[in-house]
Amino acid sequence: MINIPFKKGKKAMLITKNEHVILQSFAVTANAGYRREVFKQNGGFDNKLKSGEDMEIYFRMLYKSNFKGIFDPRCKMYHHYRNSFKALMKQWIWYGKGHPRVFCQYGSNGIHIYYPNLKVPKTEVEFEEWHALKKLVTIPFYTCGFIALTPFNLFMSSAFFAFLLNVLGFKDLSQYFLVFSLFSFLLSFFNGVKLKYLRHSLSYSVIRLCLNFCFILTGFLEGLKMKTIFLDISFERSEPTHLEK
Amino acid sequence: MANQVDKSPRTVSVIMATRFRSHYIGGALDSLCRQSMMPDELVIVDNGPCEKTRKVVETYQDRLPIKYVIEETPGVANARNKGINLSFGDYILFIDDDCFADKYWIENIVTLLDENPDVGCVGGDLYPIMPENPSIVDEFCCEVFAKGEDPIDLSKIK
Repeated sequence: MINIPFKKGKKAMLITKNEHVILQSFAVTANAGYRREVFKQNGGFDNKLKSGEDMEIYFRMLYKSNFKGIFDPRCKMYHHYRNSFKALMKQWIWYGKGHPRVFCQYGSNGIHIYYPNLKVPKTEVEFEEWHALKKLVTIPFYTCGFIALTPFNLFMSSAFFAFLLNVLGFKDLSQYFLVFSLFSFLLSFFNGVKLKYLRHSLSYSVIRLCLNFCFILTGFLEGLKMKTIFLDISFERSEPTHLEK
Repeated sequence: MANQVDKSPRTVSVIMATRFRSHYIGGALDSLCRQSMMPDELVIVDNGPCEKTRKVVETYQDRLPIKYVIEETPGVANARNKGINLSFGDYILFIDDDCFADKYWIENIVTLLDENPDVGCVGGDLYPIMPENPSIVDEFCCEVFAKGEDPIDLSKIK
């Protein structure tokens, strides 16, 4: 990682091959500048992808050619978000459809389990530590997979296991999973809540849950088509894009 | 890494793929008119050909070096590939139709690409725009997706 001096204490970040898949750092095409040589060497956008084509070309550039990518918050773009709930859901379903294909192509074999929200890195040193933590388990399976143990994924999966165990007749065990599910829900709830929007926290949580659910479910189903286990980090992660000194 | 600043003239193309967003595209074009460094061409690829978009784009013809093309095949990747094929710039910048570029957007990206010959791609940050009458969904997006950045009021920038 090479840092470029930056106003307001922020820095530009050079993102290299090893970091991109976990951070999902790439240049979104709403705000990106490429050299023409990148397209000459690697071809254009992959038109088979419904979403994530910007991510794909970025990863292709890193892997297939010797170019590097750089992220600089000085290149500012202001952006309208989707303004209706339906449009927002649709957007996250698209993201869910796009991600596993890109990750299967550029992720390595084995199942990777990450816990990205354990501690949100604020400084460069913390970022390095966080980076060291990310690979907890790598199983050399034939297929590749991606599991991010965010509170949301824990909440959904333990609720699912609780339901499954209850149906199968293991009522006691089911209760433990239910308690764990509640615990991880609270963790998820307090993780990203900022004081300034506590007044809307309930409605925000509902929107958050719906979007995460859409994204992760479509991502998981799309992953199964690719013979991959794919549980993504969901958007509640905090990307260490603003590293401060 | 030795930074070799290439002084030879290079051209900058901006590519914008659009699809049924005639209400936002004016803002994006406005922001491109206000740039500190003007692009050598602006390729607008209309992915859902629509009369309204064409009319908005026509009003900017005299201020920006616009090349307006239509791509019938749906898909944003198709549209952008067409834009790349039709453009001539050494640097290809992408902007979305619902965005509003900062005044120094082009200058910053071009400077970074000039100064770092081994860098193929520069990415930047997205900041939310707060609409005039925000609904709960708008507020959610601005506050949850914004990574701690305050949403901006477009009327204050203009």
